[in-house]
Amino acid sequence: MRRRSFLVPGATWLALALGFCVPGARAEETPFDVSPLAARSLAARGPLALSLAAEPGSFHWAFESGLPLGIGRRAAAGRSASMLGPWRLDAFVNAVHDREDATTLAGVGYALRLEHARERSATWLGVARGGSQAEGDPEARLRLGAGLAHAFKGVHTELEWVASGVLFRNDPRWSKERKYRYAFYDSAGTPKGRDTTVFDAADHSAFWNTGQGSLRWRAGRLSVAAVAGLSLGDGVTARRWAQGAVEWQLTRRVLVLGSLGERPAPSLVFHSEAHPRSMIGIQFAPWSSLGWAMSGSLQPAALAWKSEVLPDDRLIVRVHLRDVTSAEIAGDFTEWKPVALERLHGGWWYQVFRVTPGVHRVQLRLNGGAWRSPPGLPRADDGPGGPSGSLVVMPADD
Amino acid sequence: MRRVLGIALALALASSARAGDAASDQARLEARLGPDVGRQVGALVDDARAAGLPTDPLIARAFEGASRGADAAGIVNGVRRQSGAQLAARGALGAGSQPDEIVAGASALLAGVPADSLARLRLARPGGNLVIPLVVLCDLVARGVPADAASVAVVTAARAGATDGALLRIRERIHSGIENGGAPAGTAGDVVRQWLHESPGGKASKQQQRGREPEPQRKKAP
Repeated sequence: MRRRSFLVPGATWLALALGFCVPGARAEETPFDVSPLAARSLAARGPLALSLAAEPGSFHWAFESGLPLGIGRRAAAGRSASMLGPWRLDAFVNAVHDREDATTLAGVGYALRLEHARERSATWLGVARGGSQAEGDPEARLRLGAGLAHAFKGVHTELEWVASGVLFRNDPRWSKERKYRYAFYDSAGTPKGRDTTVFDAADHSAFWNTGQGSLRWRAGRLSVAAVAGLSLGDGVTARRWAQGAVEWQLTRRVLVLGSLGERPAPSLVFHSEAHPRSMIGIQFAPWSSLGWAMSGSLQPAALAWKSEVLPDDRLIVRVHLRDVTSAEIAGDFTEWKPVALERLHGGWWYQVFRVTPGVHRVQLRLNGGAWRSPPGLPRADDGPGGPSGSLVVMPADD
Repeated sequence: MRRVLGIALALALASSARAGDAASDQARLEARLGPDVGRQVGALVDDARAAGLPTDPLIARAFEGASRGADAAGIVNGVRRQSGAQLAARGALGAGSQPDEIVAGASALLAGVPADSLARLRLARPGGNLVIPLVVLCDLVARGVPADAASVAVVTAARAGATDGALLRIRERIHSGIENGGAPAGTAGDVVRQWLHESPGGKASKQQQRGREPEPQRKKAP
């Protein structure tokens, strides 16, 4: 097995560059994202994901970076719109470690996937090179894949076929025969000739096919999937395999994952969410978009409100929020103009307002949604903008 | 003579300040709402000022309507409702009510609390500030507690000597009970009964709840 140094590979730097230099690739919410099949898209998951998992007797890490290569434009309503219609091109790079040595890369894979998505179905074509290469596996030269996905009520199905051109390097099963002729003299001094045949291990190109089907059931933040397939080709016996996987979307960026069973490398190359072996771990996707995965179940929530009166009629407001990307407050003390809250740490957001002592009406808006009464505050009468909270500000202690 | 002059000067200054406020408010209204709506709202604000009612909530109500896309008629009606509610709140709470009490009382009336509940609350806490009791009352009604049940709960607690902090804790417990599936009216009553039972003057409070004065403690015969 060829090993690559963990510190050197250019592909890793390429992947890092893709991940860190293109945060703009963080997808806006597109028609794809509201599709039941949106979870399959790298565009929604964001340009970078790191998986850390424990597997029996070992530790697994995988780094993935992907870009939606669709060309978009900003629509009049501020939403992005794809200029390619239902077509989208995803490119991604992934790197996984060697199973025996967590500091050595076992493989770097590159893939392009062109997808045509409709409301409840999608078809895709993909081309990939490289990828995870376990001990004894041949080197993948080129993989071509095609898939068909459909979403029924709550269940997503997918059929997929991947053809791989692989190369067995210096494999004794495909030895090369060489004959050496040499001469020697017998005891009488007469020259004689003799043939010697030598068998050298040789490279061998082969063609592999992998067919697979998957069922994925999703309820809220929980996703349960079963994948099964058959791999066959030159140089290997036909292999049936199956894997069950469970995912729990802890937050928009953190996915807890678990899988039981193994999947061969061809089965993984076009699926960012796939796990090669039985493992339990997490996936962290720092720039995941609102449309990612089970984000439909991740409703922005306001959990707590704290306010503190400061001298000079200033009021510092802290609000504890979950699954929120933007938050605004409007009230009579802002003349009902929205004021954005600033993000603190641990889910807390804050802003300082100038508020005179007295009874004030206030509203909170999360992710640009509807105005609502802030958490924990007593409700006031509903104004033209819906539920409001009553904020009672006492004079500051001198 | 010097005293009379001082009073006259003070009155003149106050009148001048009010005129300055009025001009400033009118300018703000017209800048945000446009000249036509600004003038209509300004007239309502002037009427409220003349009646001695708080004017900032009226201007805020107009701005709230404008920011939420209400049309001119909606904005003016919203201000008129707020002004009427403030007038009714002052009538129910008494002429000497603080501006904050009037604002909180108006919010309660607009949420559906009957005016006589405000008057009973004043009787339950004579001389005390009613801002928090009114805010709690408004909150309970906004969360689905029927107005009469909410009034009974808050007035009973206030009559039993509940402080502002205690009223806010009662509100939180009612809120939790409703969120956990309790019927709003029953939950409000249960929480207040439990608070009366747990509070230091529990027995006396229960008697007050029944509308009787607590019996004086009698010394036991030796």
